[in-house]
Amino acid sequence: MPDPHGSSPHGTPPQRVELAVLIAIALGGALGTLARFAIGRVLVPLANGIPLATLVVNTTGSFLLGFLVARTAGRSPSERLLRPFAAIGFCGGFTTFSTLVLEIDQGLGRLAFGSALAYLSITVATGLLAAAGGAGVGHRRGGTATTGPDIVDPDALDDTSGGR
Amino acid sequence: MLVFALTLAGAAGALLRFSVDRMVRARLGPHFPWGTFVINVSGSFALGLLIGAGEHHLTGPSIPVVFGIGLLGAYTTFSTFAVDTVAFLQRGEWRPALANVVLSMTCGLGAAALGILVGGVI
Repeated sequence: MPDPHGSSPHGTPPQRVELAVLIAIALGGALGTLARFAIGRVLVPLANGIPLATLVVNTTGSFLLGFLVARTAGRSPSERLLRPFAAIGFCGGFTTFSTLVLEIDQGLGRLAFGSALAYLSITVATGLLAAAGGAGVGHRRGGTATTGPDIVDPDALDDTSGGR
Repeated sequence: MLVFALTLAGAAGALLRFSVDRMVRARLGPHFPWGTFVINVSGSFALGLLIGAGEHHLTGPSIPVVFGIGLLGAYTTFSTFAVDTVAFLQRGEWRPALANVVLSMTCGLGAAALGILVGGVI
């Protein structure tokens, strides 16, 4: 995991996590969950059975996380709670993988193969495009002088990947 | 009341994800997002169980919502999966990118289907 303070050498046992970091993750996760639930109440599935709410949540959450990871790469310790709250907590709690696969499985179970496969492909495609778009915008705004194809700093990724 | 339960479940799901990711990462290293993989596959199995059991037994309507949407929805994550895959692609590492998509999706779908089956039996 993401060691929010910097980097412990890999392979060493995880360090103790500050209480403030845990509270930030819990708050972000709760807010993300409530937002996802609210969107699920408002957006009804499309006529072809594609669950619009999950698609919207996963796409916008991927954009936001791509943006945050790029924007906060190499940031000062004064913003150390931003990533646990917004990236690990909110984006992680807002987007969901379990609902996505259950919806696809249920589509396949109803023999709606076409729309289940379309839903799967559209989700992966828009999710990846949104994450890349968010990273692009984040780098431009963050002013990190990264040029070339390697837009997402691997160290920045190590710092948050997984936990969100 | 439902909102309160969802708030707690969402917070718990995010903290659980953070802990599991740390544990898996400490064991398997940071080179491939195994933490997110383990989280998403285990969470999909658990949601399958919940839904499979719900089809056969009379669990109250709010139990699937609080545990399924709240806890497991917050525990599993799509955004990390997307951002990690894009990071591989942007470094030109298309093999781990493809592996992440194919493994996560096939194992997640399989785990959820298995969960529905098992949940229907117990």
